[in-house]
Amino acid sequence: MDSEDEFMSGASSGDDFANIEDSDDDFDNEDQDLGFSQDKDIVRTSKKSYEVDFEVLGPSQIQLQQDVQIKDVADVLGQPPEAAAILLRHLRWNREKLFDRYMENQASLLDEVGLEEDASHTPSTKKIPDFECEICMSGDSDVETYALKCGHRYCVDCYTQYLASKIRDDGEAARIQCPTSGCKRIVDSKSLTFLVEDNLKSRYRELINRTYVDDMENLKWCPAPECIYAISCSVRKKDLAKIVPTVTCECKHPFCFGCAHEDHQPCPCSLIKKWIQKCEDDSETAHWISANTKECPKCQSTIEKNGGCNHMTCRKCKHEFCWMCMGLWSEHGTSWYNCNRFEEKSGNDARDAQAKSRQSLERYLHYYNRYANHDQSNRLEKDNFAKTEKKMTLLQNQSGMSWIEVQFLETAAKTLQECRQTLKWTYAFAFYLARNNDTIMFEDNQKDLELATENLSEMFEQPVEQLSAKKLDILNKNTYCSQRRVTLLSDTAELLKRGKWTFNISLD
Amino acid sequence: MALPKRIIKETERLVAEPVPGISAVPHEDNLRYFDVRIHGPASSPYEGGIFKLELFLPEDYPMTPPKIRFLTKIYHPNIDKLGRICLDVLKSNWSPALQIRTILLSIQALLGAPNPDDPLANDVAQHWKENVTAAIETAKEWTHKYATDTAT
Repeated sequence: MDSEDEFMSGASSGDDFANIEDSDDDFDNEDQDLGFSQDKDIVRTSKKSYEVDFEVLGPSQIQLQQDVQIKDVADVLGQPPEAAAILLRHLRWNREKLFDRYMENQASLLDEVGLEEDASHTPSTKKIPDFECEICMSGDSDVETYALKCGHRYCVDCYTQYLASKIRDDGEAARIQCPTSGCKRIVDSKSLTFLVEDNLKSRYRELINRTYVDDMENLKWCPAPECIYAISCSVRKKDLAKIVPTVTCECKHPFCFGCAHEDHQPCPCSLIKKWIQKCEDDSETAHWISANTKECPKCQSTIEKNGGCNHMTCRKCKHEFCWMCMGLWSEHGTSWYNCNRFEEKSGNDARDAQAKSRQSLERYLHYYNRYANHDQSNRLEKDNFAKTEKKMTLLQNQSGMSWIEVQFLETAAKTLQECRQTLKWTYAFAFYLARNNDTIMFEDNQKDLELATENLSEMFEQPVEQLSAKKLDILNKNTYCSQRRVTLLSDTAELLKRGKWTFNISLD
Repeated sequence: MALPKRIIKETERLVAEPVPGISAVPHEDNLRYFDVRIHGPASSPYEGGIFKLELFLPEDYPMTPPKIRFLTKIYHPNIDKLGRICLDVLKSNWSPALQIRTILLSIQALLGAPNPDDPLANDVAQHWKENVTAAIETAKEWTHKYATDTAT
């Protein structure tokens, strides 16, 4: 089952959890150019040319990665881990920059993050005689108080409340400052864990992890709702014109690492962005108007001629004119229904301009309709997952096949979905392709896949009683579809990687 | 709900040691709601004006900033038609160690130093940038019209 294997291969790379060696390597490589200099490595594995290497990280691994880096930096700088963590978060986990800045001017960097001296102390509260907290404006000699290194002291209750409101309400974590107005001292994680209640600690961890993933260029959150995993992938922003990095999360959600959009193979990120905008844009309405309407020569009202003769009478201003030459109808004399000025140059030019505009609209609609059609079918089929299952049960009962034997239906459903997803984006891709030999080959591939997909879809939709007889056909068609899809994606990705496609717009 | 000690103390101190040019009086039926008056700073277009504001201390004050709004019409690039104020300490730079007193002083300072580069009222800010003299003139007119005793 080709498609099955392929489906799994994506996820399996994420299976080797807690592989610290691996993640460590990742970071060492970071300063090198990870772009396409690594092509050889990509080819070396049995991966298809449109697939990319990636790894799924769970919350504990994200934590581990941070701890490893913090420890590293702490060792190199001879700073306690809390200080190293603050520094790393401050410089958005850019280790090189951190070392540079640290070597250049240690004092100013430490001052900037509010860590002038060493932060190796253990946080503890203190009682101060006649203390009055500036936040609650009360206090006494026996109130527990707390202060960071900056010495701005508040009672523990207020401090805790302050941190809680920052974490819970403002979603802040790594860059919470001392409560004093204007004090830049950052609340280190040791103080924080010392002060806040347990139920907020997990929220704090979560927020800290979030900023870590957000700050790292090689990490992205899975955009699926409620998903807790992040993906690590070495594809960088500048590579996106040459590769479409589709990754599949542990939660089975496939998405593009480049733009977090749904899987949009084989169309590059910049093109789908343009395409989606084009589809949403009102410019197409304007386009339609220019292709299908003319303006009344007198009052400029927009008029669509939807039938009848060339003798137009504007509804608004009652102006009478000829649709052909836009001239006064009264000047046409008796040559009604046969505008004799039609052959004039000005008329010709107007006609050419209109034909051209109409043609470009029709070209767009051609691609859009097919794109929308696959999108629609795909959406329907996604909802039909339960229906497929029902069908499988029904088939089992009717034909006496075993559960294993009716799995081919589920496989077919999956293949259909994948093919439609791919086909959908091939139309967005093709819309931006310039006419040449590669494009023709692409369209042949597309046509082939589309035909096969429609066939498979048709077989799939047949009444249950005919399905058992068709099992072999469906299996064959299924394999064919999967293979055609792989071929199309591989070929397209190959050319994309080599920069061989010619687009009718610029790719950035 | 009992009023937090902090609010009681702040109110007491506002009465005991008033800030020159600023008054804040809590409503009798709602001690979190204040009537505020700020005198326009000297040598600013708002000089001679007395501006009314309302101030409300939300439930989780002082963890969240007080809500403040001008009730008197004012021509100022950082204050919009509804009297809302664009001031960092009222939003992201709020600190629980700040007080009603300090916030009102900041607002008074804002009257003395309008910042058209960070505008809330775009039309006013643009006017301010394109023709300062004329904008200041309008601000003076508005002050006279809406913020003096002769104004209704």
